[in-house]
Amino acid sequence: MKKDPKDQLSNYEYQFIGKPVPRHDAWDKVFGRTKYADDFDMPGMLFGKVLRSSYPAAKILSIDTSGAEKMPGVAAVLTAKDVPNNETVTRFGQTHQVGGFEGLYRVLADKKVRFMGEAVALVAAETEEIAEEALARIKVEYEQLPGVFDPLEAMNPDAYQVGEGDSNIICNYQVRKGDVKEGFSRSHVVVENTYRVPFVEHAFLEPESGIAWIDDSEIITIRVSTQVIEHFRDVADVLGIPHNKVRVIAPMVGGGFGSKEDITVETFLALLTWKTGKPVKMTWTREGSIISSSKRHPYVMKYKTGATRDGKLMAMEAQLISDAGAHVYLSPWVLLYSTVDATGPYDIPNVKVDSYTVLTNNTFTSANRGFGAPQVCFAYESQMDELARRLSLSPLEIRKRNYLRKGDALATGRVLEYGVETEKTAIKALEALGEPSMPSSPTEKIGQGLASGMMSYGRMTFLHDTSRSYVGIELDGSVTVRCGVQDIGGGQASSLASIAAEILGVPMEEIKVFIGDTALTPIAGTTTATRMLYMSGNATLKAATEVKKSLLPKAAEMLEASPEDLVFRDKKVFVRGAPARAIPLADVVKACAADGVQLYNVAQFNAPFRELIDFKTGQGQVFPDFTFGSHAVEVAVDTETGKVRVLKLVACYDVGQAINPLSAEGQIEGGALYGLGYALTEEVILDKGITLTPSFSEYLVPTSVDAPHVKTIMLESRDGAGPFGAKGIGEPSCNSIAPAVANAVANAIGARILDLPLTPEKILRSLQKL
Amino acid sequence: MKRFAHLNARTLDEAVLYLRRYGGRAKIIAGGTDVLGRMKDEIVPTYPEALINIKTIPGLDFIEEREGSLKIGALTKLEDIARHPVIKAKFSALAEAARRTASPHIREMGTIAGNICQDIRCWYYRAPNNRFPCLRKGGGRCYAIEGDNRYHSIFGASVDGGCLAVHPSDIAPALIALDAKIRTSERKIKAEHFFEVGVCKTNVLEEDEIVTEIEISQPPVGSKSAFIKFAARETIDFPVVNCAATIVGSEGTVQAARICLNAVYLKPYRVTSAEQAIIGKTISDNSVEDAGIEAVRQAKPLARNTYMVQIARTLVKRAVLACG
Ligand SMILES: Cc1cc2nc3c(=O)[nH]c(=O)nc-3n(C[C@H](O)[C@H](O)[C@H](O)COP(=O)(O)OP(=O)(O)OC[C@H]3O[C@@H](n4cnc5c(N)ncnc54)[C@H](O)[C@@H]3O)c2cc1C
Ligand code: SF4
Repeated sequence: MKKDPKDQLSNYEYQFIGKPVPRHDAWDKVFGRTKYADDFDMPGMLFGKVLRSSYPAAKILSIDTSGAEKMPGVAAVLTAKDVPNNETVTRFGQTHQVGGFEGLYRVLADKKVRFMGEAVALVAAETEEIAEEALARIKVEYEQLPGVFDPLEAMNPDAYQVGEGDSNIICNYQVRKGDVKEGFSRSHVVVENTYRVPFVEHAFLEPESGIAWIDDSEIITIRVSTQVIEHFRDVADVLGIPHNKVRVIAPMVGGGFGSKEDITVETFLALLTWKTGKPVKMTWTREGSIISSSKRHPYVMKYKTGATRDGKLMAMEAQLISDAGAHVYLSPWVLLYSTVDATGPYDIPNVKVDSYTVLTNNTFTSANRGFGAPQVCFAYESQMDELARRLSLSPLEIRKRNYLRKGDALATGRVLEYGVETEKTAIKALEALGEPSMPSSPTEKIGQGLASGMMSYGRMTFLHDTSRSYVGIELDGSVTVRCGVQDIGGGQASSLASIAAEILGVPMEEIKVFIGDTALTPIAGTTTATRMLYMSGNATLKAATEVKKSLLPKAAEMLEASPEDLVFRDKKVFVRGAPARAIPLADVVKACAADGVQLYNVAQFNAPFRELIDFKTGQGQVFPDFTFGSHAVEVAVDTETGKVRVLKLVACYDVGQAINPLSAEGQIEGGALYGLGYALTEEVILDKGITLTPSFSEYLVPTSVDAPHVKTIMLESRDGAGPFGAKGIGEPSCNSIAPAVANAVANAIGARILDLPLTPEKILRSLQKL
Repeated sequence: MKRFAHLNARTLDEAVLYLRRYGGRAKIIAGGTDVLGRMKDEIVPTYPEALINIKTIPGLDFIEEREGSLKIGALTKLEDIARHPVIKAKFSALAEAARRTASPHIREMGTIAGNICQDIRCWYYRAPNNRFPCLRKGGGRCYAIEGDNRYHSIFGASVDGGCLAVHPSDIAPALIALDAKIRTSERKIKAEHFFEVGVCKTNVLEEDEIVTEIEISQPPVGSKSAFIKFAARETIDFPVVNCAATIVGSEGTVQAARICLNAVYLKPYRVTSAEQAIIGKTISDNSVEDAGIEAVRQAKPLARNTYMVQIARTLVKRAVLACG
C-alpha cells in the first residue's frame, strides 16, 4: 500500500484514525476461535432441512408428508399450509415504506414453483441423517410447466408467466436528459455495442447458517449469519406475532457480498422452533446455497455512445435488461442503481436510458457486491475505450476530457457535492502500472487497460435511512460501544472502535464493541449498500462526541482550565500546550458519576431524506454520495490457447479518509479479486433453469495461485459524507476491474469481447482462430 | 449420503472376495477423493451397498526401480509421485502430470490407481441427485448434445448418439505416452488398452478386479517426455485439454514418438497421426506445427467446444517442443 503525501492532509492530528492497526478480530479468526453461525450448538437441538423443488417451473399437484412424519426422530414437517402468513410483501424500506415496487416474499412454494431450488417443505429431526431421509420420503406430485429462461423472451406479452401476474416485466425506469438525437448528430463517431454479463455467485466462505430457540417467555431468538438483523420484523410477520417477540443476533459473518441481505434460513428456523418448541439448527450445503440463494443479475446492455472529434462525449443511449430470476427481491433497486450509474463518471449532455428487469424461471437474483454498478461499468468503460480507439486518443486522454468533477451534475440532475477525484485516480493507477512487460514468447501478447468507476455508498435517499449507536464510558475509563451492525468481515465493528478511540482518547484495546443483536444493541440498519461506516460511523462519532462533551465541564473544573483547551489522549485529559497538567480519564469519569452526569449517549444519524425520483425522467437525488476510482491492469494473452494471465493490477480509489488503512486496503484487494473472477472465470451456468455449476469445481473463483499482486493506492480527499470525510469502499472497490481487464485484453489482441467472462473460447474466436 | 457398509480388506484376496460377494454392488475405496464425492452427491441411481477399503492392504504403496522398470504401487499418492527424484528425472511426463493434478490436499489423498479409475466429470452426469438421468446412467438421452458442451468430446462419441463425456485424468495420458503397463489382480494390461467406456464405466476392469501396480520400462537412451495441461485456473481444475509426449531421438531426428491427448474424448486419445508427422524429422517450429494439425484432423467439435480443438493442437505442438 502506498499513500501519497501530496494527496492528503497529513494525519498528524489523529491518534487512531488513518493509522494501520491490526483489527481487533484478526487473531481470533486466524486461530479459528471466532464462533461463526454454525459453530454454535445447543443441548437438545434439532436439525432443519429444506426440500427444494425438482423443477424450475411446475404446478404442485399434491404434497404427501405422511411418510416423513411417521419416521422416528422427525419432529416437524412443514409445508406452505403450516405457515401462518406464507406470503408477505417486502417494501424494501425496512423503516420507511416506499411505493412503486413490492417484492413478494413467499416462505414455501405454494401451488406453483418458479425455480429449481425453491423451498417446498421443511423438516426438523434429531439428526441430520434422519432429516435427510425424511426429505426423501416427502412425496410431491408436480406437473411440469414450460417455463421461460431468457429475459428477452420473457418480455414478450405472450411469454410463459413466471409469477401470478400478467407480465414478467417487473419495472422500467427512464432517464432523460437533453436530446440524444441532437447529440448523436453532432458526434463524429458513434459506437454501438451490445454487452452481456452472466449470473454470478457470491461465493462466501460460510454458507447460510443459523440456530433458533424459543424461551419460556415465548421469545424466538435466531442467531444467524446475516447482513440484516432487522429481518426480525419480517420473521414476526410470517409467524403473525408481535415484532418484539423475535430477536435476531448476528455473530461474525463469514462473508455476505449481498446474498445475506435477503432472508435466508431465519424464517425456516423460526417456524421450526416455533412448531417444535426446541432449538433448531440449519446450515445449507454449498450446492443448496448455490442453487437457491440470490445471484448477481445478468444483463443485456445495448449502448450507443457518441463523441466529437476531440473526444468530448455528446450523447449516450442505453437499454438495460436484467434477469431478475424467479422472484422480485431487490431487482428493482439493483436496476435503479444501474440506471443512475449508466453514464459512469462522465459528463454527457444528452442521455437516454431505458431499463427493465424481468422475471424468468432462473435462480432469483438480488444484491451482489456492487448492486448493479459493475454491470454497467463493464459496458460504459468498454465504450470509452472503443471511442478512444476510433478517435486515436489514449484511453486516459478521452476520459480526462469527460470526467465529472465536483459541482457537476449527473444525468439525473444530482449535483456532486463531495469529492470527485476520478482523474487523479486514473493518472496514478496508470503511473503505477508502468511500462508494458515484454512477452515471454512469440505467441504471447501483452496489453494494458484502464477503467474508472463510480458507485454510490449509503442507501437510496428515498428510503430515509437512519442508524443509531450507543457509546458509554465506564468508571475505569474503558469504553463500551453498542451498535446493531452486522460485521461481515469488512471490519465494520473495528472501525467503530477506531472512531470512539479517537474522540475519547482511549486505546483501541480498551474499547469493546457489542454488535448485531436486536434486543440489546441500538438498531443500526443493514450492512449493505456500503453504508455501515457512513451511517453507523457517523452515529458513533456523534455519540462519542456527546459523551466527551458531558465530561468536559468537570474535567475543566478539575484541571482549572477552560474546556476548549482540553485534550483527551492516552486515557488522560491534558491541558493543551502544558502536557504536565494532566489527570487520568478514569478520575474525571468517577467525578462525573458522583455528580450524576450521564456517562453514555445514544445518537442517531440520519442520511439526507429525499422523495422518490421521477421514474419517467430519472430526475432527482437517489444517493447521498459516490466513491470514484480506477483500476489499471496488464495482461498477457496466449494467442494459441486464449488464456489470459493478469501480470499487474493497480487499484486506485479515493476513500475520503481511511479509518483503518489496513481494513480499507483489505477491501480494495478483495474487491479487485472479486472483480477479477467476474472478468475471467466466474459464471453460474444454467441449462433451462438447472444449475450446471453447483460447486466450486465448476464455479471458478480465482485461487490464491491465480491472484496477482494487487497494488493499492489510496487517495484521501477527506471529502466524503462519512465520519472524518470518509467515503465507502466495500462495494465500489470491485467496480471497475472487469472492464479494465477487458480493455487490457482488447489492447493485447486488437479485438473487443462484449461478453463476460473473457474465456479462452471467446478470445480464440476474437482472434479468428476458430 | 445414504448408508453403506465399509469393509477393511487385509489382503488382496480378501478384497477380491468381498467384491465377488457383493457382485457389482460394491466399490473399492482408496483415497476416496472421487468415490465419496460421487456418493455424497448421489449422482447415480444405484448406490453402492459397500465400499471395500484397500488402504488396509499392506505393500501397495511404493515407488521402486526393479528389473529395469519403474514400479509404482496402486496406493501411491500423487504427491509422492510428483516429488519423486527418479520420476522427475527419468519419467518427467508422469511427475509433471502428478504435479499438475488437482490441489495439494487431493494429491496427498488421491492414489495413482484411483486417478486412472476415476469417473468422468460431465456436469450433466455429475449434477447432484441424478438430476439428468442420461445415457451413461442407463437413461435415454445425452443432455450434452444440445446442452452446454463446452467441456465435451471433440472427437465425437464412440458410437453414434453415444456419450460425449471426456476422460478427466491427467495421469492417464502420461502413462500412455510412457507406454506403461497396468498390473491387476488378474493380469497385466497395456495402459493404452486399459481405458474403455460403457454405462457407468471408464475402464476394462472386471467387477472383481483390482489394480495393484503400474509398471514403466526404463526409457530408451535419447528419450524425453513432457506433459502439458490447459485448465481454467492455475490449480485444482480438471484439464480442459492435456497432452503428454515421449520422443526418442537420435542425432537430432525423431526415431519414435508417443503422443497422447486427454480430456478430448471418452478415453485418452493417442494421436498416432501426429506421431507419424514428426518421426524422421527434427523437432522444429515447422514439424511440430504439422504434428498439431495432424492431431486434430479428425476433430468433430460440438457447438460449444471448437476452442478445444485449437487448444489440443497447441498442446501437441508444445508437448513435442518440450521434448526437443
Ligand atoms: C476437486 C478435485 C479436483 C481434481 N482435479 C483433478 C485434476 O486436475 N486432474 C486429475 O487427473 N484428477 C483430478 N481429480 C481427481 C483425483 O485425482 C482423483 O479423485 C484421485 O486421484 C482418485 O484417487 P483416490 O485414491 O482418491 O480414488 P477413490 O476415490 O478412492 O477411487 C476412485 C475410483 O477408482 C476405483 N479404484 C480406486 N483404487 C482402485 C484400484 N486399486 N483398483 C481398481 N479400482 C480402484 C474406486 O472404486 C473408484 O471408482 C480431482 C478431484 C477433485 C475432487
Ligand atoms: S456426455 Fe455422457 S455423461 Fe454427459 S450427459 Fe451425455 S451421456 Fe451423460
